[in-house]
Amino acid sequence: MMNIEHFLKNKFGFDEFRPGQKEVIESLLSGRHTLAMLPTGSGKSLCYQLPAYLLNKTILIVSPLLSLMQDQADQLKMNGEKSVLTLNSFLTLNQKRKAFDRLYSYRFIFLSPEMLSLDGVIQALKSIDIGLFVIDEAHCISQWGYDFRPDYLNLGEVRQKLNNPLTLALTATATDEVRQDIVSKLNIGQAAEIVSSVDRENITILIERVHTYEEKQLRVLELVRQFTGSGIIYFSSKKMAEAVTVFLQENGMESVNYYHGGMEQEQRMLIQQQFISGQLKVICATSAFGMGVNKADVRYVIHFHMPSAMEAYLQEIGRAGRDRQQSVAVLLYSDGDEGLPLHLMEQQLPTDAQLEGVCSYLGSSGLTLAHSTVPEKELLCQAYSLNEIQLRFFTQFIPADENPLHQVTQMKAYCRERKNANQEKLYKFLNWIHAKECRRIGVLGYFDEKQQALNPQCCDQCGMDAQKMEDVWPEVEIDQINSNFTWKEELAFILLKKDNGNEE
Amino acid sequence: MNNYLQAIILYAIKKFQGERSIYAIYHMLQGKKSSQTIQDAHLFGLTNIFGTMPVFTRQQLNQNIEQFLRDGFIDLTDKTDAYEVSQAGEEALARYLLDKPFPTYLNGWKYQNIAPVFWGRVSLLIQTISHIVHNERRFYPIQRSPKLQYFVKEFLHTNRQDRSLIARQIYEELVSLLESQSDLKRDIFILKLTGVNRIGLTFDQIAKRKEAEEEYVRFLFFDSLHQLLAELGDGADHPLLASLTNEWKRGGNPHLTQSTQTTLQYLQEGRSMSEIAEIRRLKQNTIEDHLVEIVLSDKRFPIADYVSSDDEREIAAAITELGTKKLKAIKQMVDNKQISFFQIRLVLAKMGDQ
Repeated sequence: MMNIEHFLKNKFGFDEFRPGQKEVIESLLSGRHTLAMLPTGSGKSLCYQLPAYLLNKTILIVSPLLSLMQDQADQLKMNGEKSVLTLNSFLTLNQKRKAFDRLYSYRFIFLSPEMLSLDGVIQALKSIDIGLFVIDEAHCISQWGYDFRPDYLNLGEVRQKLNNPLTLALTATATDEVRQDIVSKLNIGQAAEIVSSVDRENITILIERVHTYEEKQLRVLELVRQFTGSGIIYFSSKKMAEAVTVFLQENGMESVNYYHGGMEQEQRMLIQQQFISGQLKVICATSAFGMGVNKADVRYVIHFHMPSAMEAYLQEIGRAGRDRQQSVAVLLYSDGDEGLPLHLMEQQLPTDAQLEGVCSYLGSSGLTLAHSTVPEKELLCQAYSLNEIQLRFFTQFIPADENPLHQVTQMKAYCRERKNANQEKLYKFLNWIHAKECRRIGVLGYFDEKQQALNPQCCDQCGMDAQKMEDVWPEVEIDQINSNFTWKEELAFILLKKDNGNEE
Repeated sequence: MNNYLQAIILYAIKKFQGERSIYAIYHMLQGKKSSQTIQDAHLFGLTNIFGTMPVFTRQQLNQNIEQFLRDGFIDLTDKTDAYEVSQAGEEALARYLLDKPFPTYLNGWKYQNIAPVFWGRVSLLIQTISHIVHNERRFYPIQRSPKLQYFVKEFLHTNRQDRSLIARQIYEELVSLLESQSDLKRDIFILKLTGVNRIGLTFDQIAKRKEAEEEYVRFLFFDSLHQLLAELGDGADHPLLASLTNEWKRGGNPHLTQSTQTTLQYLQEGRSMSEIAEIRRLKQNTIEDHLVEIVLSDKRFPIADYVSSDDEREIAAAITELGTKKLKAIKQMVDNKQISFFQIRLVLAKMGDQ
C-alpha cells in the first residue's frame, strides 16, 4: 500500500494526521463502510479528500446545507483542486446538462439530499464509477439526532440504487443511539466505527450564573475586554445579537459586529470574512454562524443564551481553539433561560390544531402543496399562522398523490414524538448546567465516554474561572489598522503591487 | 423625519398625489415586475427609486406610515390606503433633502436588474486580481454566487494578458470614473471593495465610519453604481469595465419582463395581439399589459396599429387638460365609446412622465 503519510505531506502539506483521520482513511482503503465520529474542527473532510486521490474514482458528498457544500467545494478549489462539481438547484439547465455530460470526469461531486431525490440525477450517477459515497453531518438521518432532516431519510434507498458504493458517514456529534440509527438507516451493517473522543482538551468549559439581563450584558463586556483575540458570542435571538453588538460598540469595543440569517447575503459574507481575516475581532451571532467557518485561532466562545442540546453546544464551542492552543467557552446562565429554546422548539413543528386545520383545508380544496403558488401558500400561512419551518414540514410530509386527511394521525404522532425527544435533550442539557460535577465528565458521559486524563484547565467545577484564564492565555498578535488613506491610495493598495513603484 | 427610508417613502407618497395606495409604493421600491407597477413608475415619475429596496417589507412600510400620521406629515384621502403629503410633510421633506440631496443618478428602472450583477462582477474581479497580483493564490471568494464566480473565471480565461496590466487598467478606469463622483460616494464605493489583506465593509460599518445613516449610504452606493453604469456608456473610454456589461447591450431590452420579451418577438414577426394571445394561451388583457410595458420602455414603439392618430390626439388632449393619470376621468372626458382603457393606457405610456 502507498505510504499515506507521504501523500498527506505532498498533497495537503500536513506533517501528521489528527486523531482518528488515519484510522478512517485506512478503513476506507481496505474497502470497509465506515462511520466516523470526529469532533468539530478536527479535519473531517480530509477523511474523504485524501482517499479520493488514492481511489482515483469519483467521490460523492451529500451535504445538508447549500452554504456548507459551497464552502467545502471552495476550500478544495483553494487548494488547487479543479475537478469539483456542486450539484444544486442554483445551476442553470444548461450548466446542469454540461455537468451531466462529463460527470465521470469530476473527482468530487457535492450534492444536496434533494438533488438525490430526482430520478434524472440518480440515472446520471449510475453511469459513473463511484469510489466513495460520503454523507456529511450523518446524524441528520436520525430522528434521535438533534438536527433531524427528513430529506436525509431516503439516503439509504439512494445508496441501494447506486449499487451500494463504499460509504463513509461523517458526524461530529452523535450519541451511541444515533450512531446505531445511522448504520441501520444507511444499511451499512458491517461498518467500521471510528469514534474519537468528543473531548476538546484545549477548551476550558465555564458556566457562570448571572441574575438579570443587564448583568449578563455587563459580564459579556467584561469578558470581551479581558479576552484578547477572536471570539464568538452566541445568541438565540437576532434582535439580542444586534442589541448586544450596539451595547459593546457603545462601550468602546469597536471591532464587534453581528451576524444572523436575516441579513442580506453580501453583508453576511463580508462580516464572516472580516472575522476570518482578523479584521473583525468579535461576532455576535445566531447559530446560523459557524458552519463552514474555518478559523483556527478563535480564542473564546461565549453563550449569551443556552443552546437547545448538548450536541449543539459542543458544535458551537468546538469552533474555538482549532489551532489546539488554549481557549475557553463561557456559558452565561440565568434562571429561566430555558424558556427561549423551549419556545423556539415549539415553533419548529406544527401544533395539533394546525395539523388538523391545514390537512382538512388541503383535503377539501384539493390543493396540493407541491403544486401551489406562492400567494396560495402565503394565504395558507396566514390562515393557520404557520411560520416558514412549519410550512416546509407540510410540503415535505404530504406527498402530492395522497389525501392529507389520512395522514393527520400519523403526523400528530410524529410531531409529538419529535417534540418530546427535543425537550428531553434540552432538559438533559439543563441538568448538565445545574449539575455539581466536572463539566467535562458530564459532556463525556452524555456520549457514553469515560475521561482519559485529568485536565489542568478543565472547568468551573474543577476550579477554573475566567480570571485564571489569563495565566494560560496564548499570545495574541494585535495588528494595527491604519485607515487614513485617500480613496485613490486605498484602491492602489488593492490593485497595484507595491514593489514595482506603481504606488500613486 | 428620522431616516432616509422615510424620506424616500414620503417622496413617493408626494409623487403619487393620493392617486395610488401606499402598497403601490411597496411594490415600487421592491421593483415588482407587474404591468401595474411598471406603468405607475413611469406615470408618476418614480422610475428612479423603482426596485432600489428589494428587501423592503410591508411591515416596514406600515410602521413608517403610522409614524407619518402621528407626525402629521400625511393625510388620508377618500381612497383606501391612499395618502397625501401635508404642508408639514412637504416642509419636513424639503428640509431633510437640503442636507442629504436626493441621489441624482439613481435610475432603478434602468439599472436595478443589472447593477447588483455588475457590482458582483466588479467586486469579485477586483478581489481575484488583487490576490493574483500580490502572489496570493488562495482566497475565499467574497461573492458566493456560482454564476458570478463562473463569469470571473471565464473573463480571466478570455483576457489572457498580464494580470498586473489588467489590474492597472481596472485601477485607471475606476479612478477616471470615480473622479467625477462626490467624496462620500466614492469613499463608499472603495470601502465596499475587498482585496488582498482587507475585506470590504458593510453598509452599517460604512455608515458608522462616515457618521452617516445606513439607508443613506445604501442609496448613495446605488447612485454611485448607476452613475458608473451610465458613464460607461458605449465603453470607448473604459473598455475593460464596459466589457463586464457586454451581454446587456447585445441582448434585447433587459427592462422587459421575460413574458413581455416573448410577446415582443411575436409582434416583430408581425403577429396580431389576438394571435399572440392564442398561441401563448394568455388572456388578451395580458397581451395588452405587455404592449403598454413595451411602449413604456421604448416611447418610439409604433402604436398606430392599436390606436388611430385621431384618437391618440383626442386622448392626449384630455390627459393634458385634466392633468391627471386616472383612467376613468380620462375616459369620461373623451366621451367616446369607441376608445378603450387599453388605448388610453397606451397613449399615457407614450406621453410618459410629463
